[in-house]
Amino acid sequence: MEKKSDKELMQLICDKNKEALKMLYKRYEIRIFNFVLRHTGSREIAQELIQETFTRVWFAAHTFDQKMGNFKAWIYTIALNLTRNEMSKKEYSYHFLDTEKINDVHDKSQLAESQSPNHILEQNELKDSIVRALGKLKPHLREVIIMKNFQQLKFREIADASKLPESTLKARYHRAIDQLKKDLIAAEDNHHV
Amino acid sequence: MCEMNKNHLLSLFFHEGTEREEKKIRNHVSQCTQCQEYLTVLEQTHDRLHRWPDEKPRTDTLDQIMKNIPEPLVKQAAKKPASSLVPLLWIPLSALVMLATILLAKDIVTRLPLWHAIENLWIVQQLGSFGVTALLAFLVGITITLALTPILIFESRSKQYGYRFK
Repeated sequence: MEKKSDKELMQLICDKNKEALKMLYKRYEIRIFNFVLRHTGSREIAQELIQETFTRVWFAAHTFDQKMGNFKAWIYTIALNLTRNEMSKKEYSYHFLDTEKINDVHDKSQLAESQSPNHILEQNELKDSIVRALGKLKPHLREVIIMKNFQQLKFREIADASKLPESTLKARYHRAIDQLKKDLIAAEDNHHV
Repeated sequence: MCEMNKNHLLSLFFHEGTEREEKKIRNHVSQCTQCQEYLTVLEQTHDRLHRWPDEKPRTDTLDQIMKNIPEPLVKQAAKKPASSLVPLLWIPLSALVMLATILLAKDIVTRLPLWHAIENLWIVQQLGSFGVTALLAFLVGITITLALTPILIFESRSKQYGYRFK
């Protein structure tokens, strides 16, 4: 099962093979979870949406184009649509992220790895600054940054997932970088000065 | 302002172009401070963002997903009914019962007052008392079947859709 490609696993899922779904989950759990987490800033929502994403993979497997389809783009489309829906439904604003809550949960996992409290504190500060900077970005700009920098998708793959032309995505990426340059790099440099 | 399209710098930074394109862009960048600066910004942003490390979902997530998925219906192989000779025995038995009934009824039919009225008819003479009784039995059978048809149809539908008389 481990050697099978994503498309082969999707074929098995169409035949209602649960082991195939488990294998796909193992391959994509971290990516999809962090994709949603960085969009919403909420572990709770990320937890809900990763479940919903893989449940949809199971029930909508027959809609995946076995010959032409790109599974990575397909699963990101599902996760992206769910994230957009969730954020619009709850009139969710990234500006009001409960960063303490994120850090709290994250801290426990970090402490388990026996890191020094100073190191954790420093990491949390860095993460807070990233969360704040991402929060200031407009959702459509944040989407590109997350898919490109964190998920390391190619622009072609992002275009497939978001159904937008590559040129639009690149233009958005430049705009996002301009803003992050002010909010992330300049702010940090000032902080060190 | 540099004439180089910023998108080319993205191709170079993320290695999404061909080797030839990258070489061309690299040559330009080596002589252009604006492009060098932009590449530095791309690199710095990328590094800063990656200070938020990947996190893991809860360990029971997969179990929760599997709970949402119904067990596939196991198709049971249709049971082949055991072959039996009993249904075949009903045919000669029914024929015997019919024959006995007709033979008994034949005497009764010939004693009816109606029989004297029709016994001289050509068709009656051709069929004889046995034939006429058999014909009568056939007509009575058809009448009973037609009379029962609505009840039989209702009964089969009620079994199919599950409705019942209250």
